Amino acid sequence: MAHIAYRDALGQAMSEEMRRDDKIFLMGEEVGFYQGAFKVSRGMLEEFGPMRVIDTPITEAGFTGVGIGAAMVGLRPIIEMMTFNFSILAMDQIINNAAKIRSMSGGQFTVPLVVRGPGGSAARLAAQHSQSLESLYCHIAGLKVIAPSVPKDAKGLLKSAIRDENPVICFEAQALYGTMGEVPEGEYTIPIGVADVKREGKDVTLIAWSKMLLMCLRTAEELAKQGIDAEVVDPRTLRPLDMETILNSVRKTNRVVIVEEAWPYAGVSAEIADRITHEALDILDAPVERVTGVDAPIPYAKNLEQAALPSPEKIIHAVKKVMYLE
Amino acid sequence: MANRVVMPKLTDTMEEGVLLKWYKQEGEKVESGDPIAEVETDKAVMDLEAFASGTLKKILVPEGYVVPSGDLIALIAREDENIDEVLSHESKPRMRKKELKGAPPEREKPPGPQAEVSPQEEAGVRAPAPKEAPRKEAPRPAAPPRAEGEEIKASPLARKMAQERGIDLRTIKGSGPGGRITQRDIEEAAVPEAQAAAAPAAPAGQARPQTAAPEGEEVELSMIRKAIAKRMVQSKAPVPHFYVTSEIDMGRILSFRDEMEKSPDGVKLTLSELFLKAVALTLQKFPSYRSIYQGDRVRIVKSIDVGLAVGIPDGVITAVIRDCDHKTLAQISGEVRDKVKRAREKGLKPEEYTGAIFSVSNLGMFDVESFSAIITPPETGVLAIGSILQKPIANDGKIEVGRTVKVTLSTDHRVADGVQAANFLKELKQIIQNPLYLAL
Repeated sequence: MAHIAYRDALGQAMSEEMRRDDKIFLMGEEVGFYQGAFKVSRGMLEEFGPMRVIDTPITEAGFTGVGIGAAMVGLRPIIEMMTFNFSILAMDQIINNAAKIRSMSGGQFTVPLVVRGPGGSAARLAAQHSQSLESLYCHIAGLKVIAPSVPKDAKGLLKSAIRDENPVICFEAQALYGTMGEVPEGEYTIPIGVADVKREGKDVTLIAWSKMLLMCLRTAEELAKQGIDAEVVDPRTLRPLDMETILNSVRKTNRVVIVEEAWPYAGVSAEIADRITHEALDILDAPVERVTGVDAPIPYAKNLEQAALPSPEKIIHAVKKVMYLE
Repeated sequence: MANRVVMPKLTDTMEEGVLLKWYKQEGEKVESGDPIAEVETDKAVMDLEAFASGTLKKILVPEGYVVPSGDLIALIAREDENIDEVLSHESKPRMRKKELKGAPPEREKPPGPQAEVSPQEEAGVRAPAPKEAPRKEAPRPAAPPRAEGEEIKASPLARKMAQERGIDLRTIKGSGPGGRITQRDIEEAAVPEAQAAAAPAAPAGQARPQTAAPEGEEVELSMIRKAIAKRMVQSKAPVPHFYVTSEIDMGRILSFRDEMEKSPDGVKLTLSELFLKAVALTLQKFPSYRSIYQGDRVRIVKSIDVGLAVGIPDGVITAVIRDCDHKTLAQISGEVRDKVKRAREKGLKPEEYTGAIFSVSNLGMFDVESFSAIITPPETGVLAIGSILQKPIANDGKIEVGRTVKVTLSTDHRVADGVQAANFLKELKQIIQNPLYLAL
């Protein structure tokens, strides 16, 4: 298996799909000549030309709207947001058009559109450039939302997103682009809506996605040294959510900690916690704990930024709480 | 980096373990997977394996000490690594010497410099801060009486477990936040109020009343004895037992056994082995005796796994024969012999002594006419077998000397009733008195 970076796994997914289907094109700020602000579209302009790898002006609402229109008449656009912080400018297009046209046209139109790009905090990018906005999109009926955490999942899920007949939002954590991982040779896809148990364990279930998944795997090793055997579940897809895999894990451990980088209020972890409580109340030995970012804009200062985000220490504390160890 | 070695939790019921022996000494090299120590759990003696390679840098618990599961007992690190920093961040193991516990102060060693030495110092651990007794060791205070209708805080899992085991939540004191009853509290809920209240710990430093205990020596219970004490109380209190006894003519089955032994591929069968098979065949016809009581429903178990009580020096353990009804007598016999032997050496694995759906207990070899056995939850019944006695038996109007056995079936009245118990024994009797069924 090839050992490649997360950014290259995404690039492979797009290039392979564009070779397969000439209706697919990529559009966004600096995706062509500059080869992507985060170098995800490296080599694509050269291979597919300026008709299919299109540099746009700084007009998120505009090019997202163009993408939706193109999708309605039979093309399959991939819209790259330079960061998801800028997607806020295109939310009217995404929420009012992309998510609803299929329903409002009685199925006469579909919108096979992918909106992808980096999100989350990186290193001192301050409040406006460090946001995790998954829950905003998860809230919207009509959208699918994926958040792969490792290169293999990134490639397989993005391919499924491109082939989907409905709009899919793909969150790529900015801090993950350089992370490496095994990616299978040859053609493969990972279905949307299927979670993955990334580490087996029996004492407590940790649920996390994207960058937080990697933090949970590291923390699970630390917990193992303290005699606590944590299972780590990666939902991979935030909407739709694979509750079956999550519940199977909870049946084993009876205790749950959900880790989310975003703010706590009305977050994705709140949704997952509610579903677990509703569907698995009788097998819980403790209230579901959530470890999230603090409920404030992310500060610029390094020490304050760290303090505002989830950390292994906070996760260990929550694990001990659900196990009644402290 | 230093790797922690902790007292493992090898079974669900294990709360603490005895460090019997260190195979490796401080300074010795260890490989991941090497057995480094021998520990005694509540059911067995097992090897503790190293999970990391390196040098056994520090042993924190000397041989013969009892430590709660999860506490640090040693550190494995690189040979040249300084572990002082690591140790300073670790809690000291909550250990105590195995032999004596709770002896009245006046009979302890006379106070003197030696008596001040804590186990930590004996073990060569620096900065031995006297550690308070582990929480689990303190006798559980009786739950305060709760008013009828008063809200009980319990986790949903604890509620479900209590219902399955027929435990009244009002009798349990919760250890969670705000007194919430948790899974662990239910598992530990064996000691009922009366028993816990009868043995309060004398607060440290407080003079013990002269009349408190008669002269004598206090010896700590072995791990298995403690487990039995807990389990049996768990059974007798919530499970309403009743007992039905029947006498079985053993003439034909004893001849059958002799013939089996004499046959060319002969096997020597014990009565326990014959009864195991007969009970397994009977259980096929009585689903309620292979049921697990779960409050408002029972789970009828498919696989007929029958347990045989095996007396071992400091207690009793159940060796489980899986799918007993589908095994031949020779298979059962071979398995019983192997498991009984290993049970006596405390060598049974957890899956070999748990999960039976019905048990057999035979005291026939100890010259008892009959006895009643206590059910091991969550089983519904247990069959107690007495000795073979010579008796006058009326046969075709003539009196002759025959051999009979009295068997007593203990039944959980929540699941089955007297008529079912009587029919169960009738079926069993039919099989024992017509032993060819056993050869099927």
